[in-house]
Amino acid sequence: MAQPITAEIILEHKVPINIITAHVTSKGGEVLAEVPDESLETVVQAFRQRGATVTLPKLIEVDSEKCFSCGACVALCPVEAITFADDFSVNFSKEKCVGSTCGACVDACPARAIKSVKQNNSELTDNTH
Amino acid sequence: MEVKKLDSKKNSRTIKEINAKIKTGDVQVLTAEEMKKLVESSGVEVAFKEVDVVTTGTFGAMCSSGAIINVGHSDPPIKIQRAWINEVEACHPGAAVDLYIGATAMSETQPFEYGGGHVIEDLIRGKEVELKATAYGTDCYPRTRIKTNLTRNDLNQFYLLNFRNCYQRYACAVNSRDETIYTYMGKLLPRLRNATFSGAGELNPLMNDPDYETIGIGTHIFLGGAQGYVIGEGTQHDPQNLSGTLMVRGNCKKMTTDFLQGAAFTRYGTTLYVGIGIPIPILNEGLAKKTAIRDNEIFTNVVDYGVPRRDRPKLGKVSYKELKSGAITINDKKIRVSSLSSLKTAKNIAGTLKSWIENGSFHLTAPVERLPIDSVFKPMKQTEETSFVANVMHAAVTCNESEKIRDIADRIVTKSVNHIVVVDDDGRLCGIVTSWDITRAMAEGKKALADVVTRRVVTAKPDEPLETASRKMAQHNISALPVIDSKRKVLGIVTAEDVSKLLGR
Repeated sequence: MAQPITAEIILEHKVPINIITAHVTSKGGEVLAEVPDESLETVVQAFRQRGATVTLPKLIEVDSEKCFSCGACVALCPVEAITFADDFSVNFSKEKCVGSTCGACVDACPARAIKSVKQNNSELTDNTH
Repeated sequence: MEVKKLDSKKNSRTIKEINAKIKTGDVQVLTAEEMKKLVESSGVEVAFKEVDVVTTGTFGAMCSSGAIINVGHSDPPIKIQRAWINEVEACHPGAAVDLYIGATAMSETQPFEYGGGHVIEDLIRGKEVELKATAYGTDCYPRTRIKTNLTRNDLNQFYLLNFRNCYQRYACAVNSRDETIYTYMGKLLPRLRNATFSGAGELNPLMNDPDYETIGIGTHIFLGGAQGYVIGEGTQHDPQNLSGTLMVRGNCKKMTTDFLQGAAFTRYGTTLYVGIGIPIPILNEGLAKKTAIRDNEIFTNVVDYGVPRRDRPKLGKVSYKELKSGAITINDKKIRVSSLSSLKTAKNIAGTLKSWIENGSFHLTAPVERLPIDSVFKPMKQTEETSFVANVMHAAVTCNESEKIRDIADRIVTKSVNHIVVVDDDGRLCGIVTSWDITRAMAEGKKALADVVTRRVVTAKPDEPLETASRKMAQHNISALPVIDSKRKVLGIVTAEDVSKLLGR
């Protein structure tokens, strides 16, 4: 039975959920959604209680010790989260980065300074509980 | 700023005079960046009078690098035949215990991630590395195996000995293929969606002395954070194409990892990022003018690395100013571009070298022999014929999309082929079907060809090397490639069988 679970959760918890992409058919589907940080736990639990599988995209992390500001990643970033400063230091903006859903920069780094890492909230990433 | 002016009649200065000023602390040094600004604001004449030395710098991936290492004799002694440092094989080109570890040699346990460049970096960092060696044993060197842990302090000589560094300029790379490729010029997205470049442009040492007036054997340089020397022109030195290179040597034990770092290029291999800075003595007005060169005066070709041939197509010319701006325009298309070499570190090198000269810890040398200015970089003489797709392709069995599955099954049997290329009325590629697709369609009772055609077809061009076609088939786990021209007209087909007949001979 198809249920409007996203709408239900928005109404029940009064949380804004921003749907970025959605591929839904009568058999099921996949939705990529953005949720405010403070409501993340509530929303994830609510979806899981309704039987949905929830995964959190991994974050991209840059090891500034290893990075030598070559710039190999800069032009590959589709959302301009990686930019050159005036002195040609490479700057990385966590806010702009879309995480492992993209990951275009990871295998382009000659210093191997860019990694996909799991969110640190282990309770949320564990789908079985 | 109080400046010791030259005698107004004098139109040259010597390295000896500059070194005397370094000794007394009166030397006037500018980085290449500062020099360009001074010439722009005050002119060449003033710049020549005021400036003794201009410092340059570059920091990039320089694959033809490596270190010569003498590990000392074991007891009983060994004449090393094969050796590995942290699982990276080192060469043993000389006597018993001299090794050369090349930047691009890869670890046997972590290939493409850890290599000779990383071994050199780890040793410079002070880390312990593991040496393993084997030998056949002789009367004088009876030992046949050894395993030991070493740090840089345990080595006798540990010298960076790079046979091609510091390219004066380098091509800008793009990729016209339909797939992402991973090259020594980094990750190149399909259909020209990004571009990469290398080199420091107006900061590059050779670009600031393009006639090699002051650079040659014995030129004292900044190398990897220490002081080193130019020992000649590098391999593939190509002065007539503004593509000079250097061979350099320096003591690794004095280097720092800020200016020497191992690196890994996905699906290409490992390398070493090397920092080089050269002081250009401003001996005459001509050199003052040459060191004023700007990025907008330095051009390079945009080269299509999607074509796996020696002479790759050139799609345009761009200046280093455009390259550093983050975007270039090719065929009216704006392409995002970024560097592979660090411009930040290049500036840092020019600045560090300037401070060394100012504080008297670095002196200049005149080359005992200048770099060649007229040598030619020749392609390889090939005595064996190379095979291209055109040499082995044959006519493709085709069909069009309106045909029935049953008829195609008949054709597969009568023509005894496994692949049928689907074309439109003009003979252009629409898709491909295999005998497996047809068998499955018949088993499932499908009638329309359109339901079983593969439309994203991996293709080959007639002038493509056979090795590339073979690689494509292996990568996509397929056994044939339709051969098409630039208008996607089907010229034939090349199969795994054709390739193995020729390459497996």
